[in-house]
Amino acid sequence: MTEQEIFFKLLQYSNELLENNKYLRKEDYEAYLALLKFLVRIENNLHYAEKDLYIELLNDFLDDKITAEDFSFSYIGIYEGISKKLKHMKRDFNNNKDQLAEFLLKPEQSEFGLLLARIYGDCDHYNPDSDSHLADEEELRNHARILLLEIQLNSAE
Amino acid sequence: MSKHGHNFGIHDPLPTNPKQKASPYLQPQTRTNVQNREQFFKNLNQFAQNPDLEVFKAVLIRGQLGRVYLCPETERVIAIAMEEPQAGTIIKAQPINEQQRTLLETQNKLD
Repeated sequence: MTEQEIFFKLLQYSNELLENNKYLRKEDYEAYLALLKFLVRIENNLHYAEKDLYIELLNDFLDDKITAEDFSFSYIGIYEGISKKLKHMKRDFNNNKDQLAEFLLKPEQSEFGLLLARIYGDCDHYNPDSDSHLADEEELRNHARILLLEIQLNSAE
Repeated sequence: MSKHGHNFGIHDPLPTNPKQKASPYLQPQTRTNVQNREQFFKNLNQFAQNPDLEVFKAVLIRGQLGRVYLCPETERVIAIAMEEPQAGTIIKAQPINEQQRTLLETQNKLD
């Protein structure tokens, strides 16, 4: 069985369980972890496909065209929006098989995915009214610089 | 957490930011405030009543230990601090994606 076939079989099983109010994690933990591995790869590739949106936003923030608060909200919007797109694709996978397969077969973007998740946490945490907002903004800027560099290095390969 | 009201039934969007660029992923921007906080916590309490929540104990959440409760159907989580000074307080309430879920499963971590 190919990787793609295994993925679709696991996804179908998970969806069938969901329809019966059952969850793959409880029913078969190993299968759940295997499916999660495939889904992370697809998700990171979906994010990577939108790298231009991230680059523009990161540059606007690092060039002080927008505030840390504006950046946080916009970043969360993009990040959650892409995750929502995958959620829709996996629940309705029969109509999204080609696209899922396409993103499954692209090279893994694991470092990119980890950085994105970390910055999401920074954005979620950032509050301009908090006592620690200056230090939080500096951390956010540092992570934003690293993400921009990671995307640029990746694009140059 | 305060930026995720719209994920937990708070439809109280902030005014549109003129600096916000057009994006296919635009979504309502909410911030919990004095007016909607009570309703927000009511909604979180309701979320916490779901018997299907999956519990992750001793998770490192931005440097502090907490418990994470995940709803497998809606793919949202809340996290409660276990350490002082915030012990017992909800410190996170947000949707969770595949990457974050993997970190939770394999490293007991939620940023």
